[in-house]
Amino acid sequence: MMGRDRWLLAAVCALTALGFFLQIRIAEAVPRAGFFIPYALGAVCGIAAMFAFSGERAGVLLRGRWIALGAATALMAALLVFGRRYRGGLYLPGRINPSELVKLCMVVFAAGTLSDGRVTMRRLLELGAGYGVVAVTVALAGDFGLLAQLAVTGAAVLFATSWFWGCAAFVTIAGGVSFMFARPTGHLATRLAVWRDPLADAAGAGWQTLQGLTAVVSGGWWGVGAKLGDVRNVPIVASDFVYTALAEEWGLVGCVALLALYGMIFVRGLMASDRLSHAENVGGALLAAGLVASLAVQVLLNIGGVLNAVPMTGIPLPLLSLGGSSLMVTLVSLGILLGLSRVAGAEDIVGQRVTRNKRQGDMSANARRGQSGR
Amino acid sequence: MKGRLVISGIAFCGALCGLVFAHARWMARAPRDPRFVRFMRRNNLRANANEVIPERGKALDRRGCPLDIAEAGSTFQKVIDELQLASGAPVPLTIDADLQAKAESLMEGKLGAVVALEPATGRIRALVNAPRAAYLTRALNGLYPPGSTFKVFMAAAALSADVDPVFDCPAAGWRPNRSTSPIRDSEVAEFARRRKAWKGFGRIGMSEAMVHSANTYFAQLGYALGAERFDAAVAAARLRDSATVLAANTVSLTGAGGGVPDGASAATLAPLAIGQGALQLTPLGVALVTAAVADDGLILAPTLSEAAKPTLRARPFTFAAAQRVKKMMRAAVRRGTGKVCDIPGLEVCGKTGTAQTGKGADHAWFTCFAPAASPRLVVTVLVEGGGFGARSAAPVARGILLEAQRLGYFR
Repeated sequence: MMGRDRWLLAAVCALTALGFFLQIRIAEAVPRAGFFIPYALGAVCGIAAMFAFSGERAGVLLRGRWIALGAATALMAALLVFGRRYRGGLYLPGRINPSELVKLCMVVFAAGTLSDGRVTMRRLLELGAGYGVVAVTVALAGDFGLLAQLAVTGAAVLFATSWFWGCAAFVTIAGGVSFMFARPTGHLATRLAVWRDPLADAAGAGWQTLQGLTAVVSGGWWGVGAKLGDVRNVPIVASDFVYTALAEEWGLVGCVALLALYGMIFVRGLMASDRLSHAENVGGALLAAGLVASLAVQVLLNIGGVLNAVPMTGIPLPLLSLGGSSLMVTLVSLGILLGLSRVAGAEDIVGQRVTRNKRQGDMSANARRGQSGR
Repeated sequence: MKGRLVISGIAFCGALCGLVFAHARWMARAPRDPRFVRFMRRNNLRANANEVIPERGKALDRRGCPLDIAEAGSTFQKVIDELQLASGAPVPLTIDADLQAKAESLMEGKLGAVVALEPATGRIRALVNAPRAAYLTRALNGLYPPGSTFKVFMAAAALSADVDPVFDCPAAGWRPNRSTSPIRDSEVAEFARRRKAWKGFGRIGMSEAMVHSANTYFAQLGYALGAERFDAAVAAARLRDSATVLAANTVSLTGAGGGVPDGASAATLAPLAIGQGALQLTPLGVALVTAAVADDGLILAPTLSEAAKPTLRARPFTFAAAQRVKKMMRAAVRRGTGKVCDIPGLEVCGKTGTAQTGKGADHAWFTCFAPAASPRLVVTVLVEGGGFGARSAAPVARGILLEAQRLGYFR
């Protein structure tokens, strides 16, 4: 694939296909034309991003970090002004959820700010100001799941840059979360109570969690079999709770396969980041790390919420959940990641070794290349 | 940077493994958590999560608290729905929610039924099907051989007919004629297991026979009573009749009548007398027979409706017969097979039963009432496949009686 990471590409394609067929099964009907549009558009944009980006071109994207921040702020502002509530969440007209794009923009912003790998006071202030503005708008919109994702992703990018500031950021987040959990108010208090003991209010607040867990438990090791699960019994099964549909029909084995695919993306993405950092492209490395972190946080918070390991945060599962905007932005981010996984001058994964040899000396690598006649 | 990336990678993958672990933990834990299992069972026939379910009729217990007793789709629920539709308010039942909950928890994990009712009024205070089910309502409609609990009926019927004999009860058992196999006591098998010879009960009267649940005695008693008087007693007690416990306009909740073979010859009467053979009763049926003894020979109609006036259902036994059987049942608990259920300060009268089914494990019965002087509560417990009545069913009854004592039933 011209230097892009084959494993990463395989995992992305497998997950997208899995999500595609799972959604068809959940709908239990031949999908209408509208169903295919996000997949088609997302695939086109993702492939375009994959070809458009590479390690070197990442710098172009990162230079536009203030534009990215502006776009994120503008989207959140538009959401606050024009947004309409639907099932507890705020959406733009047309049920477009801009939160995914906001996440992508903030990753670009964070990676761009720290793009030469040094953390200075000024950079920290820029980072803080940018995140602060967006965080305020997100808090006003009431989307604490998004807030959590932004915080953790930003901290992850910071961590990738520096031990000290990264750990400081995580400690701050942990402190903030503990503070919020210690004195919860209103909606948060309900969520925490359900998290601690979903059976306490089995017919009310705990219903969704318990129905999800029932589906998971009845799936067992191998699942009840394709199309044999009671998929419609879990509320919001198509978007937030897709994991339960998979667990019921394909069991623990199917879920392990799913998590392995996600793990593959994480690991290969971090390896791409590592390659970029070796190629002295710190900005690109941070961008790759940030994209991986963004994806990882989503996966962990969604599945953790479904399994009641963490309180529910209303985050959809990337590539599996129904939702056009989420799918398209995720495919674009993965396209960027795939693009970044390419190393300049390489033909294949072999390129990894070529880059390492570059450190020893250009001559030997070039000589070898000349000898093998490539 | 590589180190930080590696740590991030390990953290993410470790978290993924943690999720697999959480998933597996739910799979292992959930079937053992009784609340979760209850939730899963109740939602087994669950409707589409987004469907609007029409408002179901609700029931209230005797104190007016909301009561969740009927399964969706059951006849019970249909009756409650109709009654609520007619009256416009939740339906008050005679069930005591605390007693019901205690009985349900004691029957957790078992198959069987519990019926607890007040002999003086016929009001049912607890009605448990284990497991809860919409269509298999064991307490009201499950037919089982009553085993030794039927000896209560036999004793009371015989005494009411002035039959009070003394019989020889050898270890070899007794049979009415050469063509049938002898009826033996369970002690024979037990002693044989220990490689000892059992001497038999010897020459005993009815009281001793009840205390030790002697099959040989009651087989002979049945023979002595004769088919005519037996049929008359069965008809007087209305054992074969069904009992409507809750009625709405078009549908009602009814307990099935017992299956008592009629026209029994003396030969077939012997196994019937010990509660085996083709004889079958429901747990409610056994509770009603016990209530007859408890309420001085009268059976009040069982009911779930607090508003219904207590009505007489049958008068199978004489006052004197009922008193004597009461004393025998007290002795059975104080020093006989029902010792498990002897609660200090509360004079419990009871009878154990172990019903052979001919296939698999025996059913365990225990039927009792308390206190002896003026009985307030009759409790009948059936544990399917529970083996000896004293081992499986009596402890459940004991728990229920203790809870009833705590709730103030016996003041």
